[in-house]
Amino acid sequence: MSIVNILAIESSCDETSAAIIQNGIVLSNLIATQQVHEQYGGVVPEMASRAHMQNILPVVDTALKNAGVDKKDIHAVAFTQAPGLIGSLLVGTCFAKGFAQALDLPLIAVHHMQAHVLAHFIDAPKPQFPFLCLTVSGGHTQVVLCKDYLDMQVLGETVDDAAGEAFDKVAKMLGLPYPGGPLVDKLAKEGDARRFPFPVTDMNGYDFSFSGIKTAVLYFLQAQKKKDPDFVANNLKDICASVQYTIVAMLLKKLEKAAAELGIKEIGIAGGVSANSGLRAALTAAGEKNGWTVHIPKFEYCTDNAAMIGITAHYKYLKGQFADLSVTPSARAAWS
Amino acid sequence: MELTYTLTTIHTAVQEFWEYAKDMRIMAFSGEMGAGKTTFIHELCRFLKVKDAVSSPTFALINEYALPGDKPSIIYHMDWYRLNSTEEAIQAGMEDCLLQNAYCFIEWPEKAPELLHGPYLSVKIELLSEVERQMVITPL
Repeated sequence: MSIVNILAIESSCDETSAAIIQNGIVLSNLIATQQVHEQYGGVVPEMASRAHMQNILPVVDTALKNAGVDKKDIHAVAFTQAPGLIGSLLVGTCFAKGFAQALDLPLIAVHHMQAHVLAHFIDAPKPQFPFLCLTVSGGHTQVVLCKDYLDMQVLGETVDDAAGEAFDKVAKMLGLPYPGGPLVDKLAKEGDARRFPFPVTDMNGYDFSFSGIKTAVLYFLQAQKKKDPDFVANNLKDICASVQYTIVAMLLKKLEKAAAELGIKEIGIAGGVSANSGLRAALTAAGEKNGWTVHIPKFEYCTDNAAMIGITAHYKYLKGQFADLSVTPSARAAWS
Repeated sequence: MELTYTLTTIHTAVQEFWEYAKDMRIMAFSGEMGAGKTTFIHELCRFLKVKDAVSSPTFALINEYALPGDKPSIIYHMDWYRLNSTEEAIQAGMEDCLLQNAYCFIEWPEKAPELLHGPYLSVKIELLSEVERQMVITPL
């Protein structure tokens, strides 16, 4: 097989990332995290797109250098086409188009959510088809049936908040700083998960809803603070553990339901929330109970990164699925 | 106009809301965290036969949905929760969306009130109890 080098670019949200993929192997994967957002409590898009513009050249240059690949030896350019913040997506899209046009290379447009699933095919052991992927992040919560590299079906998703958003918003109610999710996880490790029972919302099919637990926590805290103004401070670890337990239970419930109904034992998780220790422990336990083979990509391939865009582009390259220069980014989440 | 509803009766509330609101383009949904802004907009979009997944735009800031049938054909579902000023909202492209004559459903509009200078519908959701909500709808 001849050598195929793909330059991949991801700029859908906070991260400007570039990666070089050679025949499906990641040679480099650079991420410039926009730490500046932390002080503002979230992703501020104008800043995001401005930072993407500042970051993209050095990130691509460094990715090429670290991979030991000259830009003349690149065979295709891939970029995140959807979904995301339109201003941020535009930076990556325009850069990819310019690069492709200047060097007369084919363009590959990649769907961000498909890429999260295919992150499982960067390192061995890789899942066997069909496999189920639970993608959980600050912006997304999906159960995806993956029949082949480019043949996927979203079985269920959140009808309101994403799981990561539920963690962050509960953290906000508890007065924790941004980003709250990882802090909730840290505090939960030392807390009693059974101390405060919160309702588990059950949606139709494989869909999720996390707004109910948000409201439940809000009312619970209001009621408790009336009795004890220091309730949060005195019970922080147990509250975090109880909330985390409930969110994880809701995630696992749908994953187990889908796995049982479809008879699938190859299970993966993806997205930034896959770092959550409660989710990992519950997934391991469910895997042992149900005889699953559980796959979790390396953390750098779980958060937003260009390597997952590159691996998706690799499979699209093999199928000859190229985009032309008229391609435009889209904020819409529908799968192309 | 005022509506009182629970999750069981939200479908009827959505119908009544739309009957009243459909000629407006910009609708600003206020209410504290957990009041059910996203939930109401989700139900409204389902009623309008939106096929796209409708979820919280807190992370994405702007979700875009295709509206089948009549013009306008786009719904922008915006969330200004994480913005700190009107200036940031403008820089983020919120004003571009507001000026397109598309439907704009805005959560946390109080984060950038100066952007709402044209006619819009103020939709305030209050918690009457853990399950019951009151909605006060005022054209401004």
